[in-house]
Amino acid sequence: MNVVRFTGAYVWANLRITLAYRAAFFSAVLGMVINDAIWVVFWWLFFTRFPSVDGYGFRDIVIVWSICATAFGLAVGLAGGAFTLASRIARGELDFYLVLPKPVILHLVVSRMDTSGWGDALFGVAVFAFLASPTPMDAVAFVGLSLIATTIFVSYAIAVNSLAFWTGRAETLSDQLIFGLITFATYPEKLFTGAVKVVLYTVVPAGFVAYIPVSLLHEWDWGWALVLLAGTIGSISVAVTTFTVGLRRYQSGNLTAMRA
Amino acid sequence: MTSVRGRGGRGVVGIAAYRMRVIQAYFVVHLRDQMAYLGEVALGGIILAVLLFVLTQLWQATFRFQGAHTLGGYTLAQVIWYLVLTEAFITSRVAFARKIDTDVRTGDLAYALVRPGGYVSAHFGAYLAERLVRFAFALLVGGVFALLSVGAIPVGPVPLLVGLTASLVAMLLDFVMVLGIGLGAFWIEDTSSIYLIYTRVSMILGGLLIPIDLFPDTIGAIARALPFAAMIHGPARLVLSSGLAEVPGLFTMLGGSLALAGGLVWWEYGVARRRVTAQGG
Repeated sequence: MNVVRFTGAYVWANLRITLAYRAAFFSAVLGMVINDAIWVVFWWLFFTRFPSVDGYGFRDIVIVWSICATAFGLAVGLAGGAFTLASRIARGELDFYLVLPKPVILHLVVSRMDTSGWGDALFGVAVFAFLASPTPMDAVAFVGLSLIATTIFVSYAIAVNSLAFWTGRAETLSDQLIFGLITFATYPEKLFTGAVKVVLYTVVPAGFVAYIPVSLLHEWDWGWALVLLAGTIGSISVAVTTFTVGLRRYQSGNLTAMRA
Repeated sequence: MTSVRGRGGRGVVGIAAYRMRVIQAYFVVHLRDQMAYLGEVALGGIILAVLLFVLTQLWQATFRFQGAHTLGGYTLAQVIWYLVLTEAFITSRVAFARKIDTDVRTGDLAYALVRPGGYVSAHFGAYLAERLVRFAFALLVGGVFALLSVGAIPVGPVPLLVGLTASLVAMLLDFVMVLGIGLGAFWIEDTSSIYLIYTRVSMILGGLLIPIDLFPDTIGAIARALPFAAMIHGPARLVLSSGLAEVPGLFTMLGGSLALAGGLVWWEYGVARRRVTAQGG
């Protein structure tokens, strides 16, 4: 409970800081809503020309996008620090967090907020509500599945950014791995087979971020729900282990900075 | 070390020659910079490879499900090569609007303006170096990917040369548009969302992922009336076509758009310069 209060207080403080520049905040949110909407327009154009590809239609892709946009938006909005971890490790900026009583990793991830994430989340919820024709049960499942996908996004970001403990600079690599995850997650699962599918349920967990949640929204299956739960616990474990083991290799920087 | 000496005499010709030397100097410096960080550029190839892989799967499934040999006049191999060309243009984009935005908001622009050579010339030289290196590398990565996945397709040397020339003009037009967006920071707090919208609108209406020939008729007509199609779809289609029938229309659209956008940004730059204020400190 203490952790939830701490996280809530941090998110609230971050939100107030970004709202100090209201125009920038709203333009970032609106910009991201339009960005996401344009991708849905692409799919609309595609399915207008080809109404179904291997059984996949426009409504299916709308659900994929609503889950992914909501989850990614919440991930960078609530835990934006996970996505900038590599550069902070490379610059030796973790010292401040190491001496504080709260868990280092939690403190690091909630200490940053990417404003545009709220645009993604807003878009995801709106698209699901207006284009996916959900029942009340679908809406409940959507909220739960989006939160699970958010957890996996954050865990993945921590794991790939923590590579900086070993490589020194890992910003580009981690950005590209996260980009890869988003790319694979926002296309139909049926496009991928064989070894690629194995990768999408392990190294690049698009299966847990999008494919299983989307199939559960179509038709609830307790077996797949348990697989998703196991995948989520696995993702968190990998993230925490990678960060904890990597932190032992951490070297402070000699940069002098004032935190006010 | 590259140096730029003198203003090259008087008159318009002299000033133009001087500007060209400035652009060339910035181009050479930034080209060396790009070469020094070639590994970083190479890592960018991973993004392109992932994108092309996913899109290839999508189009292969589409052709299979439609049971068609051609769609909108394109074979599967042509669609994949089309995607290589359009993705190379898009992924080589240089987001220098953010730098201009920061210069404007911090007041650093005031110092940049008094340096010899001109602010826009400096940005253009740097832009050209970065863009051309990225574009060449993207074509290399995409070309290897397409060769391995769908094989070679017949391409005439003249359409290839004219198509690449059209891409260069399109890059110039892209520079002017992004410059205009960056200078928008004189009036609004943050131009990054406008830049994001510009890139996304140009991607869709430029036919990045779906050739415009496959758009619904009305939207296809709208897309063709805008410059984005000439910037992205036009050069790619030209390279894949066997004739040069589309060349006059393509270059008229690119040239007209460049003249219009150039005039507007020139006016915007003039107004913006009068609003420059330097921060203290």
